[in-house]
Amino acid sequence: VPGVRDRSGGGLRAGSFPRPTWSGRAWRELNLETRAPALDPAVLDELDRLSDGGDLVNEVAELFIADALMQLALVGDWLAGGDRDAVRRAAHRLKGSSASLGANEFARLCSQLADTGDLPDRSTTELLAAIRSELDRIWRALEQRNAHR
Amino acid sequence: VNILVVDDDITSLLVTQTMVRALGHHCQSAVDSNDAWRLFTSDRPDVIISDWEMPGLSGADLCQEVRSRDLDRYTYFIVVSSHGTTEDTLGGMFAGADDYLVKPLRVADLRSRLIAAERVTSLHAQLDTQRSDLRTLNRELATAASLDPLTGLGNRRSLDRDLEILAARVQRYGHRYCMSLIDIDYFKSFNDAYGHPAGDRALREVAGQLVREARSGDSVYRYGGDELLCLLPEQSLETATVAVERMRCAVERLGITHRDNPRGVLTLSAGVTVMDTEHLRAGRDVLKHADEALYRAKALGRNRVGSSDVRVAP
Repeated sequence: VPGVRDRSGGGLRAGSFPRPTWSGRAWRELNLETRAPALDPAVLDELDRLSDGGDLVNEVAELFIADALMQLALVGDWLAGGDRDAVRRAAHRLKGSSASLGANEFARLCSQLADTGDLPDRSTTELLAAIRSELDRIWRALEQRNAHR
Repeated sequence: VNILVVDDDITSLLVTQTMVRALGHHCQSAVDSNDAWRLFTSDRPDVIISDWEMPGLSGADLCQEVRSRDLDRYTYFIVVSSHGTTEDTLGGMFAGADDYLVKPLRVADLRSRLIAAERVTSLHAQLDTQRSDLRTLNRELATAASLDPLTGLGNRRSLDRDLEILAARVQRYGHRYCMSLIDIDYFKSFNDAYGHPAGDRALREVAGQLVREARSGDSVYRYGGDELLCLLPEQSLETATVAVERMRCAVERLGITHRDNPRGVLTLSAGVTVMDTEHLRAGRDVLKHADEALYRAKALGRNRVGSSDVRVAP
């Protein structure tokens, strides 16, 4: 994929993702540990089957996390600036890319963010926190997956 | 199948292109519509799988552009979006898309869609080939319908058409043209003496010689039997007579033996006449005058060119 290295900062390697810098507090507070897995095993299996000797899951995850980190940082700015369209576009894009990795809950939260009305408000801020927490959960799921391989 | 995948989200792009390649297709990728348009125009992919929502030119815009340029070859267009609402699906189809997929893509779904895409594009390719064959055939038929099969000269049908065009030029723009009616001397006795196949060969040779001697812009037709006709646009009676006289000499030079011709070879007689606005106003019948000029040439001993102002050469 053209531009992957530029966008990811050049330092990402499969199986060694930079952990998101936020604490994941919102995640723990919501006590959502009983939810479905952060990454859909069926999607991961399909990506594994497509790998053809490589590691497509980690390749896709590497791109996704790098992009998600960047987009979420920008969303914070856009929320503060009230740029509704930019937030919607970023949320829509993250919904698509996360779904490619089987991050269904992340995609659902992004879909909610894309559909949110006037910005910023308290529920949007909470939603963004939940998205960040979900990204943290995805990161942990990937670390766990790689540890078992 | 050559497939172009377009998505500004590189994560989705990587997954889609991996799936496409795993399914055995050739894949190119573009991260924006400009890049996609460049690849579309240079490589003409069979299928485009494009994200719906992209910055700049959207998937709908790209699809409309492809449809507006996609004249000689059909490109199957699949829109991919994470929306998946009925309105979006319809929007994609109205923009000209053939199919709609919702993210995340699944290999099985993509595979079945690409089977359909392959079927449709090959049907279109078949149609294009048939259309092109039909166009070629029509052109050939149109040409054949206006040519005399024996000599390859224009036939009466094309003569009538060209005469109409020349007459309109005379009427509207004051142009003029000359007509020469040409007859092979003693041709009946040539056929009697040497047989019809030899007569046909001689007619072909004479026709070929007339075409070679005619100037560009002049046209030669088979008027019927051994009568040929030459149209000389923009010529005066004098210059046209000189041109036809050159043709007469060239045919004599062929040296086709004809024992019943006093010259010992095949010769021709011709009558030349002119048509201009003055003659048109006077209701002149150009064919009748050319025929009269030919008759005079024959009456004066054949193997000569007669013109409608009575002066006869040589």
